[in-house]
Amino acid sequence: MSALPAAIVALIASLRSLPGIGPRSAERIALHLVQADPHAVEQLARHLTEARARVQLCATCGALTETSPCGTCSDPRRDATFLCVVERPTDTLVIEKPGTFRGRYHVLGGKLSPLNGIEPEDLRIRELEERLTREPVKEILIALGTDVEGDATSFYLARRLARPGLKISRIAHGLPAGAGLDFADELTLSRALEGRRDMKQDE
Amino acid sequence: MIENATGLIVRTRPLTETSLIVQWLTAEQGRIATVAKGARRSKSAFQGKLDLFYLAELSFSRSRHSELHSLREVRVIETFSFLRKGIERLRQACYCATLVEQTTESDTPLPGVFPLMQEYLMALAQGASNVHLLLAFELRLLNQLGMGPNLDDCRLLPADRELAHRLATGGLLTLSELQPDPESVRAVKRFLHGFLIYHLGRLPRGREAALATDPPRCSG
Repeated sequence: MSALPAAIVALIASLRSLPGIGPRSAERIALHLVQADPHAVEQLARHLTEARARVQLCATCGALTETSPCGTCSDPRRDATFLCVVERPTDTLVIEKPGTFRGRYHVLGGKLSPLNGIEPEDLRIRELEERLTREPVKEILIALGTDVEGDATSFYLARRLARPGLKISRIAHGLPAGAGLDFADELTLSRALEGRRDMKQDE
Repeated sequence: MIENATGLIVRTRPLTETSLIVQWLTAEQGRIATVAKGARRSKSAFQGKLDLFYLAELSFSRSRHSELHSLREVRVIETFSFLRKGIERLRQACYCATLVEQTTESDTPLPGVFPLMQEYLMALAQGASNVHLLLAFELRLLNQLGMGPNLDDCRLLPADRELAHRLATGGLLTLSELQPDPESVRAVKRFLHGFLIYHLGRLPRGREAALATDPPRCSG
């Protein structure tokens, strides 16, 4: 029988369901919380509830936001002709980090996965096609993962979205910045060779 | 104890933030599940080596307590990269993997099923007409597992029966040259639909989608 009070056991069980938190971390956090300043715990609980209640998916792009449309979709300084397609809402945060992309986003909400029964109608592809009819998009950058399902989704999208006057590109993949050839695995290297680019483009 | 095998990856799924469960189809050990610890880390030795339908040599430590073994090393032999270039072919390969999963037990040798799956992927890579290739896979898998239909005593018409016999025998790779009557293909498809439901209890997921379209031929 556990020596811990039932309330702490329940708290540990809830914390364990969070990503990246194992049994020991859950117990440590729970024991910290039940001994912490009650005001700090109340504030944490309030922030959790408020964040969950306020944060939603942008009706236009599908990214995480408090207001719909989100800040990126409603920002007139963002390039409305350039659309980056990503798999998950959090992927937009990753693309934003370097600060070089100035276009807008579209979150698919997943990737095609026949093994898991995820087909095109389960993704936000129709919404993307609708955006193409009402927004002045000239280029779509597909920024999905490079696993088999991610690649198959990218090729499917490129075929389905193809229309006159629309450029469809894909993020490059290959060697990480600053790394030498001897640190690359053979598959990454072979894909880097396949995706080689003309150096005149860089001049 | 460390064991070595040659296998095809038929499913992957995350276990933790950093680890991956990889299911393999091998000849000697059959369907096995392994944990690839740290495989989801960017600097993992497994990085880029564990993806659907990769054919690889693997070594793993067999677990004494569960069916989840520990993956130690992987050397990729073939990636079947054509599967990346069209969802239709990936859908068909995934359906075959699902059918194998549904009809076989894990950790049981499958000496005939592994080469069948490998040959099927090679035929798919050659751009074979996929609907009858997929029906051939179904017939051959059922035969391998001792569940195959008695084609000489079934309700198929003679011409359809002849096609079914042709699909069930010979090399899969030679089927790419076969141009069967579409009506016979439909009859064999319908027959196997009912046969699979009768013997498996339910139709494996993805069959309809996999057989819905005959994708354009590709160079691989």
